[in-house]
Amino acid sequence: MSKVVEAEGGKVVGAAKHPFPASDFSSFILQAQASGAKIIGLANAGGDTINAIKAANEFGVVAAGQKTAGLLVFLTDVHALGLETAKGLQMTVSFYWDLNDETRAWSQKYYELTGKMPTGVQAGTYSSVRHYLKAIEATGSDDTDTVLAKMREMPVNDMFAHNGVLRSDGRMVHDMYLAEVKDPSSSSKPWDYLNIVRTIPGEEAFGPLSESACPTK
Amino acid sequence: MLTDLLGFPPQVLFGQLLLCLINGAFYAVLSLGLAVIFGLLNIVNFAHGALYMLGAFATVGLTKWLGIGYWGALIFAPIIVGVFGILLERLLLRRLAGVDHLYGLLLTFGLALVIEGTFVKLFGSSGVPYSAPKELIGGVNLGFMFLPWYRGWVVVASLIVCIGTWFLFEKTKIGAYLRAGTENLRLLQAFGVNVPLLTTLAYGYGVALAAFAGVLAAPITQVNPLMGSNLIIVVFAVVVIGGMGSIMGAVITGLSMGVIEGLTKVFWPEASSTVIFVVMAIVLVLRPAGCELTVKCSS
Repeated sequence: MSKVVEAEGGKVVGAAKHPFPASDFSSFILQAQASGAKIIGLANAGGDTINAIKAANEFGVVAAGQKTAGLLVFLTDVHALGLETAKGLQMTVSFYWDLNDETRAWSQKYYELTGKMPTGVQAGTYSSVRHYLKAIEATGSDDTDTVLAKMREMPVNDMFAHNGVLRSDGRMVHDMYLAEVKDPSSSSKPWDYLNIVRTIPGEEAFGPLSESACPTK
Repeated sequence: MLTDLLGFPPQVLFGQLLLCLINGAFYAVLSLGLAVIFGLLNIVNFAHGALYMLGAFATVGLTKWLGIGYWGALIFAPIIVGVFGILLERLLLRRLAGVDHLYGLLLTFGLALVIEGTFVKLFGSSGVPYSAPKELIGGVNLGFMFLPWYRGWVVVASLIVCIGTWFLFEKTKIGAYLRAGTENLRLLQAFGVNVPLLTTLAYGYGVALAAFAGVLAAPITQVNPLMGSNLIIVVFAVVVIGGMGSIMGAVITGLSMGVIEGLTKVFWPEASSTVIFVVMAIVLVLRPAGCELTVKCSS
């Protein structure tokens, strides 16, 4: 994290570790507020992120001009926060239900079954299992090496990824999206939470294979 | 100049001390309920965290479906959850009177799992949104920190409840019965006091206190089904340190543990979730009955 910030010309002015899980973040938010950082990065997930963002909002961090950025925020977290609290939050997502007709159609089916819109984790799991099953179908075998070779050869094309590639280091490279949580006034329907600010090409999001630290085999 | 106190700007340190009191206030209200219940029922109420969670969800529900709003919920949510607690006591806990502590622990812990599991099924584990009432949004800049109105209100409300409970126990007739019950239930019964009713009400009151803390927490923390399970162990430690069943012990320990934990968060954040248990271990070694000097008669 620090490495990336510094490589892009930023400066890390401070960091604090919190216990896991934690329900009270006011202490850490106050430390972050006093640090004078422009952006407060939250390298946590789930309930901890939600509590941290709630506290940041309450202590006037966002109102005073500091921005919060979640490194791992899901759509369901935004739902639990409410737009009033979460507005302006920057997040990177691998999937958003309202991207195009294909994602909308698939997500609607998911919604009818579960009563919630899917996050990138759910869409990604569906996509990867389907890709695996398609490789089995194509090769007519369930031998690991045969199926794996086929999975790497076939591009992933579904509602989750377009021309996604399963690389030899095990990463599935696909486009990611930088999103910002909408203001309540610009949200027109239920689960209408995100504005896609920018599409991050897969190569940029996952880094080139030559820099990968994962074993290639 | 106080510009750099122990390597931390005073802004951070004063702010942290104030936060400590706010967190301590939560611990105080929660451990107060736990202490009341232990005092009279001799049960370590491990369902306390789940009941605290019910208080927060009742607040959300009352606001969303009945339009009662935060201020109404402050009164009605504890009553609703308190009545639920009374049902639990009448239907289940009553049957454990006189048996080993372990059974009470197992039953209440099991109840907590069932209640939390039901809410995960109903609302998902991410929880539901809730924000502070309009009157308490925003805050005041104290110079050394920005104090949200709502956090200030939490301290005031908690102190009112703690003082009220102390008054109830120390200055009223029913309080005298309750204290006598903590000492010796059978003797109290011999004097013609309706002890079963008294224990039911005490449990209901303890549960209502947990729900009250839940209402206070709803705008601050994530209202999710497992919000109480993070807190219950800490609160349990607070009650042990304060002397099981001691009212004042619970309140004072609650506040002071808030301070100790808060300061640890500044100087050694990694240890902040452990520090209360270290204190508990030390207290148990030095004074197995807790800090309170009076040793409770074991039943």
